[in-house]
Amino acid sequence: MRPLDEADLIRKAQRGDPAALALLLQQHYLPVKKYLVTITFDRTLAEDLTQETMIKAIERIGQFQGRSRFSTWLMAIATRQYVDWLRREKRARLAVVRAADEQPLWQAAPSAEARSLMAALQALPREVALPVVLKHYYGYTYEEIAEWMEIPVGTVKSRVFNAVRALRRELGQDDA
Amino acid sequence: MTRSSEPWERSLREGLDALSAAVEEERPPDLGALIMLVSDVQRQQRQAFRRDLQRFLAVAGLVLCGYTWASFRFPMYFLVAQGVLAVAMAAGVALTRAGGRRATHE
Repeated sequence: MRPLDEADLIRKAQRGDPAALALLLQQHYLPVKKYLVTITFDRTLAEDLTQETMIKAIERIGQFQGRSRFSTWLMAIATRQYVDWLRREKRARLAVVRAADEQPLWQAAPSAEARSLMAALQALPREVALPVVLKHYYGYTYEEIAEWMEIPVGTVKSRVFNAVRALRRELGQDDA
Repeated sequence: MTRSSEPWERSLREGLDALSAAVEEERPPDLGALIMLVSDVQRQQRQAFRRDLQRFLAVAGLVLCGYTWASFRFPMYFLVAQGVLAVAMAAGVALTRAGGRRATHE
């Protein structure tokens, strides 16, 4: 028997087949968690948000229209979960303190530049660091980031611009 | 992925790769556990839908009764009787649901 491809699984899942949906989520579980680790810098939070993302995906699978890839759709849900978490609990400051108390996960980075850049990135407010990662690590457009974060495109651009300038300064690469 | 022309971008990529490297060694949750999760969430959704539908039908019924009463100038006891009937039906539905819950937990 040939393995079901993703489109088949999505169709079955949308018709209410729990096994198809579970298989689909299992295939995307670790990529979503990895994505959340890179945007939250916090493994415990990433684990919680991954589970919340899976639950949202189960609730909304009927709304997936195939206009984007399934993985992109899941990343959008995951990003909104994180943005909601920041807003709901007003934990932006707390997150910085909490993450700073933990052993930084990027200590394994091979170069000193990467380690100091990650320290500088984590020191930024979360709502500023997030668009930098989405833009410069994942390559999403300003429009996509604005839609996911529910803020104007101009705000995303200015946050990225200011954050990049701060990061360059941190690494001594500031042109100014 | 984006171009990695600038040194700071290469550092960013290196740092985030290191940050997420540990996740690659993990295993995804068991398929059986995920099927249970999906079934649970779908059951809760169906229950919420039925609850919302019942509320909608109850409100629509009361509005229709009021409209009928006002339109046809029925006597006051007609409206009172409709209200009593609506309360009785709501109580009946609530008792049935409570009984069902007890049965499923036994």
